[in-house]
Amino acid sequence: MSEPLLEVRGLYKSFGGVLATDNLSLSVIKGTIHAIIGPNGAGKTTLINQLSGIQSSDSGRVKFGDKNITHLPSHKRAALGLSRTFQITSVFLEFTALENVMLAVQAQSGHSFRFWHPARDDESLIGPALEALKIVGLADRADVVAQFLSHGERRGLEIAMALATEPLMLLLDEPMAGMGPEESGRMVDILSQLKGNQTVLLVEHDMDAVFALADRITVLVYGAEIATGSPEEIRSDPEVRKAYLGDEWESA
Amino acid sequence: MESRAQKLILLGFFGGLFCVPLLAEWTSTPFYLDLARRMMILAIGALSLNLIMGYGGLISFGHAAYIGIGAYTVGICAEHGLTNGFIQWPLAILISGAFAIVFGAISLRTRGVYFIMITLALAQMMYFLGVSLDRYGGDDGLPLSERSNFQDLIDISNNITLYYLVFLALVLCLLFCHRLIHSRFGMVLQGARSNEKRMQGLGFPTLRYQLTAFVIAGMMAGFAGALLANHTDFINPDLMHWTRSGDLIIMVLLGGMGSLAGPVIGALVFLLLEEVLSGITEYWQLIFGPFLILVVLFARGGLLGFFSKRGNQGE
Repeated sequence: MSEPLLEVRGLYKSFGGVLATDNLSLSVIKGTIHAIIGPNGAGKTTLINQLSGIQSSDSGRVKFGDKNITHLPSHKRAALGLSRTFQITSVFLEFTALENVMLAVQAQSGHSFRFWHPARDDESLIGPALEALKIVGLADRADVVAQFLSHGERRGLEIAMALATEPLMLLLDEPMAGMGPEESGRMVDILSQLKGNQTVLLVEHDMDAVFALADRITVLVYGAEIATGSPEEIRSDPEVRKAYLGDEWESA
Repeated sequence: MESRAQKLILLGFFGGLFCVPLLAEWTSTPFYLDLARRMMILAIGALSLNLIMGYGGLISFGHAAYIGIGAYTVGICAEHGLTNGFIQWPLAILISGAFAIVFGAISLRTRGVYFIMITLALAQMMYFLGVSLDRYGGDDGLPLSERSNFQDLIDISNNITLYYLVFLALVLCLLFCHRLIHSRFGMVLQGARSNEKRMQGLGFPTLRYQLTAFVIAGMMAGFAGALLANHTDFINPDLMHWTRSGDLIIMVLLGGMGSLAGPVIGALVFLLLEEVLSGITEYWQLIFGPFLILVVLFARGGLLGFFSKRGNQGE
């Protein structure tokens, strides 16, 4: 087992009196897909927001690689290679699919204080962007304006954008949210391509997807970790069954 | 990309503008030379506002301040005997830019209505500063003792020469904006308008880019101000009054925010309507107001978008 890429130690976050993240510690090993599951309100999205720098943490420490990123703003974390997607699809609706991903490529290719040369004809942006679109199966939809893409296609576009920043690690916030079984299946196929060579922290409700994809799983309840382990260990953990999987799991 | 129809409309406008001095001479109505020159100068102002308003999504309600700062720079220089245009004009651009850095850094801490109010307040501050400058005419303004002097290169004391210089300036500004919005910088600016949080999620420090755009827009407006001072041979605080900033916003809306050339058309139509309607009635705004509402309601892409059958698609 290799060293952790992301290390979280004793992270707290409360909203008023409600603890959204309760003394959470977590290590994500390089090259693995680490899933976070838990019932609604378990603090999964809050955790992603804290890790990506959109929400500040009350206390605790987040280490990414060998850098302490606890207090970095989100754009600096992204620049370090920590890239996220959003639970509610967040793309540039007026731009074409290709332009969306080209912006992501642009984000990791140095500063953008370039005022003269047309960006749309820039091969060094188009090439990698098309490459990322291919991975998510949207290459033939490259010239469609994002607002005319289907929900599932937009979710795929988000992944392509995150990939195009050539991240060291992806934070995926419910990539299957709002998808039908067929679309979910396609998303599992897309994400399984990443398995083994991309570090991913995956927050997801779809248990079939999680158990199909994850190398390790952490279960959160009310912001606190109740178990971490391999899919098999989580499946058989009595604590987890009681707290979360429950009936849903008995019938599966 | 501008559509073909838009290019044709624009070409038609510029062809017409190019011929104005000849027609004015021929029909001995120098008034139209004056009107068209004013149109083009304000078109530069509207063009610069559209950079931040149309492409950046930042509605500045104080853009006339930078036109005023540019004009006052020229006026104050001339008052002290510094009439060299090679010094005056770059100075006008730099000083407007300096103010834009400070005002932008303050106002860009907010968004939406707050941004509008802060830019408005800062511009009104400049207006009252102008009023209080007794040395430079205060409320009454200050006549320009002499137009900017470009030595042997060009003599803009000739009205037609100044006209073609303004014409050239407008073409160059349009070209500059065209390159700018299609560049990487332009893509970042438009991305931040569309979805600022996502841009930050991708790793863009959006504020830095927005401030840069704000400063570029301020500098271009300052340049328009330098032209305007020479055009009217006169400066006064009214240049910076909030209603002038409002006029610029109306020009942008009227012509169309989604396109580069929209504000240019908007400025031309605005001044033309003002001229024609105020000839009919003193209460010309009574007619202009409903007209503007109709344009905003039924032609989302402004006049240019309407006539080229292509709405505001945020190119």
